[in-house]
Amino acid sequence: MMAPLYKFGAFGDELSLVVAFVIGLAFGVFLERAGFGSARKLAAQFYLTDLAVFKVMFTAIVTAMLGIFYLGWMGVLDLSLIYMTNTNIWPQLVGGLVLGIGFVVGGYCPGTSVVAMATGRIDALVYLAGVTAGVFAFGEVFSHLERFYESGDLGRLTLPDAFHLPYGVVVFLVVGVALLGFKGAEWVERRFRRVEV
Amino acid sequence: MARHATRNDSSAPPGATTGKRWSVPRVLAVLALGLGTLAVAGRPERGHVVKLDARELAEIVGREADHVTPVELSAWIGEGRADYRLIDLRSPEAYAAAHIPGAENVPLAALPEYGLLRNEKIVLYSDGGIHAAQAWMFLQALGYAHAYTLLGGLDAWRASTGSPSGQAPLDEIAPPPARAPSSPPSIPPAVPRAGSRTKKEGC
Repeated sequence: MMAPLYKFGAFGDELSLVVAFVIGLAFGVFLERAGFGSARKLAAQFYLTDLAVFKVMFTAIVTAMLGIFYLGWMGVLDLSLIYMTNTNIWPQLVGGLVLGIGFVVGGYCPGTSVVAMATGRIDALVYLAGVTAGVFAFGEVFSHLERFYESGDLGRLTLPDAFHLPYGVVVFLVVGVALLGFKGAEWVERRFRRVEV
Repeated sequence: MARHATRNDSSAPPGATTGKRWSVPRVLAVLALGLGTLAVAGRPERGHVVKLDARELAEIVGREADHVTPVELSAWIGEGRADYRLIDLRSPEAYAAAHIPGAENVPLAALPEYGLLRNEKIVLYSDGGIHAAQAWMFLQALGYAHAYTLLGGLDAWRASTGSPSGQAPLDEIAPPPARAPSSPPSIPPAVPRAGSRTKKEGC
């Protein structure tokens, strides 16, 4: 067993920053090439006219899930060493709702706003300014929110744990949901998209 | 007046084939479905049924890479190192009576589920060394490549402290004085004393 590479000492802290930079660079390139530097394309997700965000992100989820599963099965990757943040259900529900509202109002999520800013879009710069202000504001009022922030702690919760299903069965179900979702997304796009002639 | 049209208006005559039969998305979808179906039979986490590579284990033991000595461990404790976990495999009562500084009490049966990480250095000890050797064997089989036993176990550690009574202090057992690795501590034969409890045959 040799992965996660950093956890097994393949490289140290300094090189890990270089690795993170390269991965981030590649992520930004792929997001931009997928068209996610455009607020119009991103917001179209919520008007059901262009579900590219759903399709690209779910494709990435399925690819990573299959890779992790099979690398773990082959004994290359130790799943227990992969970092996973805890599930704090109530604050994460509220935070997701706030993020979603900001996404459709502003046309960006935090990651894509950086991509758009890198391509020179002024609206992305304004959006990032808002994100930064929000982060500082949150820090200032955190003492009042701390109790809620730590509420509903379910620990490291995975789908197999939550549904009491074997890991492999969950993988099969997620792949099935993804493929059905892609087909459904295409139907929704055809239904809601209008082209002016 | 603008005429709205659905996006899937096709200029191709009816009945004509549109697109390849095996487009890239379709191939990827079939591949994902195949891998997802195969995954039903898979187990990415290591279960409790394991395989042993006897030759590999024998080679580790032959190289004496399966243990650390009391001298080495005492040096680590003296240096304040925090890059290892010291596991006391004895009963909670024995652990409460005395244990090596920094040791965590994990009875042998609870070891597989204790939550040890495979990238950690783990040092196992018991009274003599038999239980520690057993624990080392199945941790190796479970993929814990950095597991070691304390050579001679707690008995060797006690002997190295130079305590005249051979009995450990109530809370913790002090580390033996650090010596050069080339001169391992000598372990005198056990001499039973009147009134002392019978030393359990080391496990």
